[in-house]
Amino acid sequence: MYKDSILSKVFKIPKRPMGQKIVFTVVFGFWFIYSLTLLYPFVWCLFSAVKTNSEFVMNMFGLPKNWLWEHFITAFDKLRIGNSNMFAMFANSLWFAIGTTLVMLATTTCIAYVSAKYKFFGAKLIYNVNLFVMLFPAMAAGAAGYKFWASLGVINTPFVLLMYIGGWGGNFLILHGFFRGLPWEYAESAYIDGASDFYTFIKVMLPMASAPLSALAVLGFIGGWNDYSTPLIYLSRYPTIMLGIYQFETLMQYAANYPVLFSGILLSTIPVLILFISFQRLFVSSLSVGGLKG
Amino acid sequence: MEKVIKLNSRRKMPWGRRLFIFGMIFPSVFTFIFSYIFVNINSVFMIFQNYVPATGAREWTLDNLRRLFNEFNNPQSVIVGALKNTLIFFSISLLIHQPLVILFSYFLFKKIWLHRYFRVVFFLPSIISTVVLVLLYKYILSVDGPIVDMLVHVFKMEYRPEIFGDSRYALWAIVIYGLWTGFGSGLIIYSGAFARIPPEVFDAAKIDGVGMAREIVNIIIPMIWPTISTMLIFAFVGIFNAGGPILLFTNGNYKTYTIGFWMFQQLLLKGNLEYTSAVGWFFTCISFPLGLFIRWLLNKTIPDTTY
Repeated sequence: MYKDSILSKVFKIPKRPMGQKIVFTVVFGFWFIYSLTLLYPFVWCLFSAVKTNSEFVMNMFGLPKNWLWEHFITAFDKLRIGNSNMFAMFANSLWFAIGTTLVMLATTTCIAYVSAKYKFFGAKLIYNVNLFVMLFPAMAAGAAGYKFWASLGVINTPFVLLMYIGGWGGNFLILHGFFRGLPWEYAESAYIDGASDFYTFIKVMLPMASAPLSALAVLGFIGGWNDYSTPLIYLSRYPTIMLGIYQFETLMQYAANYPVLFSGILLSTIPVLILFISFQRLFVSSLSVGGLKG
Repeated sequence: MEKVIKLNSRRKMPWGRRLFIFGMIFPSVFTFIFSYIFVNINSVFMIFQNYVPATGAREWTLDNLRRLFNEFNNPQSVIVGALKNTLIFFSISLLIHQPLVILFSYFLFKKIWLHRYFRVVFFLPSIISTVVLVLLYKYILSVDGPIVDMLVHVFKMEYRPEIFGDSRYALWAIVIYGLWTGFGSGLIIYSGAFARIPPEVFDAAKIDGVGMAREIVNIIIPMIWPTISTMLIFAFVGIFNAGGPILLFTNGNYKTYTIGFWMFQQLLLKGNLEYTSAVGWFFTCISFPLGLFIRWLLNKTIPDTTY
């Protein structure tokens, strides 16, 4: 029997034995401090963004004397790499993140759907190749892959999105598993009504996959938005915001402008934060990893 | 009669459907053939080639393999140093990070107070760009920062260490960064696994008076074993890719090279791509069978719990 305290009723603390309460309290204490260490860098970044350059250098970790919010406006012009200001970098990030997500998701969904729901020569092979791709660490592919895509002339062009034609890897397994579990009766009803395979896919089956597709789309967008290594090698003339921040910080050894840097950092995180907060419940319910059997 | 039915059954699929299936798989399969199969086959040929800048031609040679094997006779070689650092990252990830992720997921699953807040905050580093996090981390760990203040005070140091400018500390600072920020994706994966455990199991355990430790060891770990074994297999398959954002922290200086960073740097600096292929295939030939062995071992020794 556990006594109900007012505290446990108000804050909905589950009933636990005393030993567990002590452990949970200790863990809670550590976690709270750890969570503050995760949030502190962003608070410090905000303080740094509103200081003047000299104030930052003289008083790097203190509170700002005057809160110069206009740095968040001037950063759009002053955070530059070559001819690209922050507007250009945001635009590059937007088309890169949306483009890579769309290309990857569209192609992966198509191949996952047909290999899960149709029996044809190669359906099982596609699934097994995916397992192989996930298990085979093609470490040498980077160098040869660069040569291949360079020979096609995709570097520093929008055709770099072709690199993201997907269907091989974790996203395939997630979608394949989902489509496998989707009852075929919905499609059969559509066929009885005279619908084609393509119409059934677009109008009947795809809407039912909205949850995993949304989760993968948001994760794909966030991944594309945050990517700096691919743009560094393949899109150096059209820097995305993350590549721009990295290069700007490197160039700061010649002319430091810390408030602009930190303003740019905070502005660059806003889109992904909004997406994450809006969709965070989707991630846990829609994505799962099982065992690699067989 | 049977042969006719079999023949007819083979031709059952209408052409419209065949065209639909072909259209749906064509972009992925076509790209895969070139960007994966062709690229990997070409990378094997590159092991035995050298690019001659003067003529722009490629000559067949075993120099890349000779150079690679000579690396292991030279303790000062970059590849040997990178390998040591890579194995440090891998060991920490396997022995400290993975168990911590499972424990974190357990307490979140048990709805520790403010669990929703913790779930969001712990996942934050996974959605914030590495560029942003590393930049902030570097400034906070700078020689004038609060962390160095704390270290000097606690360890009574006579000087203020430059953490990312000192080969004694730089690598470990990056390892700690990986631990500090690395819970996000693992939490999602294990949260999903925990959520699939039937609640009746926990009710029965509670009735039997099972304590927390036994609950974790005897109930939870066996029931989420498919997820744990999958994560272990992927960890061993990617053993030589283990590392952190070296480029952003130190650009490989102060003895922070890893195998993955070295290979990426060769691409960036347009280095010897043929030698890079040789190194890549060498480590692939070790990690792939290792991953398969671990998969076999895990399936053999610990059976999955089905429910």
